[in-house]
Amino acid sequence: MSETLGFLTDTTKCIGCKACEVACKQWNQLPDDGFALTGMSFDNTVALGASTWRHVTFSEGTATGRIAWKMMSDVCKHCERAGCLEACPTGAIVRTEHGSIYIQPDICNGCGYCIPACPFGVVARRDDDGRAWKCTLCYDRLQGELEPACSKACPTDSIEFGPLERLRAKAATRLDELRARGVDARLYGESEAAQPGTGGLHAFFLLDDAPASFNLPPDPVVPTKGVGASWLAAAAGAAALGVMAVGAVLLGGDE
Amino acid sequence: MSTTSTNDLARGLDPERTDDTAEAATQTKQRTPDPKDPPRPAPAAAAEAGPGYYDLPVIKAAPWKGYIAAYFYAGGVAGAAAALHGALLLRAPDRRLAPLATKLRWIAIAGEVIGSGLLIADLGRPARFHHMMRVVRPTSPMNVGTWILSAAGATSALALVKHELLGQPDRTSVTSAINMLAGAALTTYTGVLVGNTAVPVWKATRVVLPVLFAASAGASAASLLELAGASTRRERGVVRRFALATKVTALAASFVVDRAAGSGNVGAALREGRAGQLWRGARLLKAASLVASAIPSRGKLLPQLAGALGTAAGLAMRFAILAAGRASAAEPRATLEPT
Repeated sequence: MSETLGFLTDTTKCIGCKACEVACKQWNQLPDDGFALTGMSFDNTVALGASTWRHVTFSEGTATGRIAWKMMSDVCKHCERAGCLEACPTGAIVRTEHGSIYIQPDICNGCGYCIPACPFGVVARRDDDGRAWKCTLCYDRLQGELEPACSKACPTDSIEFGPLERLRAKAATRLDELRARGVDARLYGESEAAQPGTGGLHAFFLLDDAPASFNLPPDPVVPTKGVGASWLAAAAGAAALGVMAVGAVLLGGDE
Repeated sequence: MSTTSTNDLARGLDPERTDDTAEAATQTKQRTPDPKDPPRPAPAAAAEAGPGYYDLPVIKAAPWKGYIAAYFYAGGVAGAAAALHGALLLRAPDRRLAPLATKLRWIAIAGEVIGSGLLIADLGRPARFHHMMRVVRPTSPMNVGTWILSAAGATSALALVKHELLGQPDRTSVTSAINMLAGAALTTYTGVLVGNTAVPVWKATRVVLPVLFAASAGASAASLLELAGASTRRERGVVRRFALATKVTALAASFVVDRAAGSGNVGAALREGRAGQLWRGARLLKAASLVASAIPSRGKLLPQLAGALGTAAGLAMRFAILAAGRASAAEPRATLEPT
């Protein structure tokens, strides 16, 4: 396996230009999502989806009521413990040599199980094609030693691409710098210790507000965590059904 | 309101201009305050209205259509029929129960074949259904379920060929044991399948759902047998006892599911909207079918009523669970404020 690669998305540097969205669509040849205006600030993209692998959020105002305008370029988090990968019944979803999560389009049969298995709502199925799609971390560009289209296009380096270790060091430095200036900045999903539910994100974030205001769940947990109790309940349920069946047969007299 | 937002500093903005004493903000200050119209604490109140992002869902709902709820019913009925058939074999051969064994074999194979068809119909790429069997993946309940359904279907087909076509006697064997075990697992793994997601209401109830699904599958199979009518008095006795036990258990499990879902934003998915109507309706029907099963009767009408009510209850319960999952995924509060 080569180095683990990922994204650091720094919201304090995002200017909401959506160059990442456009570059992603263009490179990956993704269809448009319509041209409706939502009235939700400048966000007419609304959410990540089957044909939207970068999505810039625009939040107006904050929890404290101060006037603010915050942007964040959302993307697949390429989790260390990925719900989609663990749920995929066909083996279509794999972890690549770069540590990223990739859906093989020639294997996916469109069962849709990865979609509710993602705690971030990243994966979606395309109606016209029937398969699940999401960010590939530009797997094809990485083969040619090019960085992903979104980070290449980002004019402020709000999206940085590179080896995860280097990004973590960079994020720590940036965090100290911002905090020294009195900014309420925090990292999101930078390590397993910080986000045990996912084992840490390969595409992590530096946020200047609560995660929820960027539509990020405060405590994402991979669904397979703790599912053992559910399997035990399944065994108990099956056993109870067996007992009821045997009981009915043995105790059932003439009526 | 004189301190400058620290985040404005982070953006390198001019505090003179971004502070609310500048520009347009000064114009509103010239207005004389009206005692009858106190200033509204607008931004803070707005933040309370929704903790998230424009009230948009945080996660995505499963794209499953009604086929999947219908499969939960068909697969459950088939699995419970296989389990009851296996239980029949544990007892010394009894000619009075032979018609019941035949019915159970046909119900099992029909449910497994129809259920497989429903699952394939729901796929985005139905022609690739066999990709489910490229791998064995214990972390994926859907993959595990594919193998359970395959094992149950294959052994049910074998039993059908052996007993109905070749006329071999009923007796326990390795395949009949596999059929009984796979059948019981078929009724219950679907509870793990929906529980192994980020959907709040499914996740919150995932330790009870498998038990509810197993009991409800038994109740649905019993209801079909009640509808079909008993051929012998002994069969009537077995079916009624199985119906009573499974209907009571399913009803009790549905209350535990309610408790596990809670009274907050997570449980709202089972109380409100179409899912709430289906869920309440399913429980009323289940209770009514339990009463109809409990009344001793030599006639045909009462068991058939119990069967019809139980079948409707089983279908409504599965559509309720699917609809509740859809509603729960669409509710950001359920994800953002875990109870």
